[in-house]
Amino acid sequence: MSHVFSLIYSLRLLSRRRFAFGLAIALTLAISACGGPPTEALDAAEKSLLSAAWSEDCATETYNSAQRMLREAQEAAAAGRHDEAKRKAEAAQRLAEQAKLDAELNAEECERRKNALRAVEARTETVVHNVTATNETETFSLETIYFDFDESSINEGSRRTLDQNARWLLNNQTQKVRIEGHTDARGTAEYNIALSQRRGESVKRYLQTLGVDAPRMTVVGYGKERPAAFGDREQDHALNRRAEFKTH
Amino acid sequence: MLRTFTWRFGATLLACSIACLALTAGSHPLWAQEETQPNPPEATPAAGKSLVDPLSLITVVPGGPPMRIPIAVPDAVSLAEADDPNEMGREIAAIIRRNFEISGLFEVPPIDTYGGLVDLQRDGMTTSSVNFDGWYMVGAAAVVKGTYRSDGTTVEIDLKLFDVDAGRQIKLNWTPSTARIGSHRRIVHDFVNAVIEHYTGERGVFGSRILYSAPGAGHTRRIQSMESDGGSISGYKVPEGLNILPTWGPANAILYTRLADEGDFAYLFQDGEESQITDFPGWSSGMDYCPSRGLLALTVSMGENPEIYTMKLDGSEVTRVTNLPDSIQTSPSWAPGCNQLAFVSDQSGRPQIYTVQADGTNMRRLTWVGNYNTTPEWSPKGDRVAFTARDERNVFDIFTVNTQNGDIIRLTQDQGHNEEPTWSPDGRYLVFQSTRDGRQPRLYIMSADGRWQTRLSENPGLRTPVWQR
Repeated sequence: MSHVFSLIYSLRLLSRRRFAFGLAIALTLAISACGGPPTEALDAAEKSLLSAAWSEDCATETYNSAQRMLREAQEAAAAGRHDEAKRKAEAAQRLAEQAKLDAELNAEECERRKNALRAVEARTETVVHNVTATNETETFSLETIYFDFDESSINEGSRRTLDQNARWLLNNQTQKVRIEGHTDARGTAEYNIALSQRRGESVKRYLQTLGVDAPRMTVVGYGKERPAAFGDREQDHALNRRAEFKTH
Repeated sequence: MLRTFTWRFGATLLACSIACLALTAGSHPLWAQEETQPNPPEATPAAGKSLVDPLSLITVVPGGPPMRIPIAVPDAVSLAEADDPNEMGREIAAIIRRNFEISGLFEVPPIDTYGGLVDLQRDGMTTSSVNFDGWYMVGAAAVVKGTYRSDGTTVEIDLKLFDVDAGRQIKLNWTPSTARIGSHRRIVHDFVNAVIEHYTGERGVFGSRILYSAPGAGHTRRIQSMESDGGSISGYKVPEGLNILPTWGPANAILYTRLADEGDFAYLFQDGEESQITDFPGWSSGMDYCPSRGLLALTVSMGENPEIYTMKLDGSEVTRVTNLPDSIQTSPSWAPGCNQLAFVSDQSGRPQIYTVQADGTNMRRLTWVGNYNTTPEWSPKGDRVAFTARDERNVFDIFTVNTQNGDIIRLTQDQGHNEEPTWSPDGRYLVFQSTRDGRQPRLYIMSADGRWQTRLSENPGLRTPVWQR
């Protein structure tokens, strides 16, 4: 039976045409209800895991158990233990859904943790953007801040960074600064420009409340056109949702 | 015999499937589609409502491609002696075959079967000399026969369409002509358009061009265009930089935005020369030009929140259309006749599609489902607006909405991210970008009902296509 299953499975993987897909589903349905391997449950579990892939970083444990459970389900199906396979596939799907929920709940905290990690990494590297002020011997960089998904409001972690940036700007009154807003790669081009612009504007407003004069600051929105990280992983997206500071 | 067997096998399979379906309680998503009609539009806006509406309940309507007419297209034949290896004849036929396939109206029987059933050397260009029985055996309802004569710089192309069943030539609204080699594709496209006119009553649009942004060196992007079958790619010599969101201007001129540190301005590129058409503070982009009124719709931020404006290309008659200081307004798209605009606004908290009169009156929300609806494109017939939506799984897909009753149809599903739809001039097709074949988006074409979809270009990283109207 397992070779039939794998045949159908490869058919579904290979076929891009809808009729072949439909045929495969018809076959799948026919076989699954007639006591074959629980293809449908396995597929559903696999799909859930795929769509939960982004939660790997923020709900690592749950996601890993989901992955483990799916593997066991697949092994059970291959060995002909169909009831067990079905049970485990369903469990895997539930775990994947749970991972998504956990990741969402943890998102803010997780993001903050990642930001902190990045900040440490950034500090251990040499300072990228050197500005030597006349009355200061130390070098200082205006640090990049990061935003939550779909958000242009300033989160807790970014606020602390901006407080430091503001202090430097207040100590160096002659410096002008350009605030560059960016988004991650998801979303449509023009709306992302608008979103990045709004990120820049909300940074400008926040710095104003800390006493930095508005005329010293300009804002540009680059949308998703100038990514800092090129991957598709959640951490890459997080690195790209940012506002950078350029002095001139 | 074979057919009967296949049929019986299919019927058995179907019966089994139906039986098993009853057992699985119809839980498969494919079977849930019939019940999930899109929500009707609300009479009054309800704040926050869009956040809970399940966009994923709207699924692509099942159904394979419609019946397509099989037309055989053998290589065109040179009228000059010994033109080997007949490159031009092959190219002409290849263009026709590709256009037929893309049109969704025709299918081309496999060309390697022709030779065994028809003597291609002796098959002629007249009713009496075409081997209709042979073409019938190939499985063709019609056959396109072509000849050409080339002198090295120009080529004269003659193409004829024959009805295989009736055994006669079909008269087309098309005449043979001569073109310089290099621009001869135009003649062939026009023949295909005439064939489409014969079968549908409306001429095809092959040969029209699609503008898009392509990756350049480093972080730059450049502007290119291709024909609507993906052929004849050409680039514009615009200054290097982040050139994005191109659109068609008057005649063959193009418009685009360049993002730069000193500001994001709009530019016009005409006859090989670039001219800057905006110098507003902040950013200008997302242009849509209306040729009949010579009026440009665009997004301008003026250093504050982005709003929709209209203006003439010479910078005169700058008019503000929207005025909602707390939200984003962007991506305007003219309705046919240029009296109305569709655009994106997040005044409800999330981006949604709205329409408004060009004078700023009668603003209306068009989409009530989903919480990220952007890139509206008004159809040439005016009845629908195509747009990009993000569903609950954070996947981007293409939908259209009826401008009268708000009825929504989904066109893409489960094939990567699909974004930035643009209508063909006749409203029969949409070109869009998709990540279904790789991480970087490529351009695809689909019928306006989404039933069949074909890749236009192998090149990755192509974005924001705009079809020439």
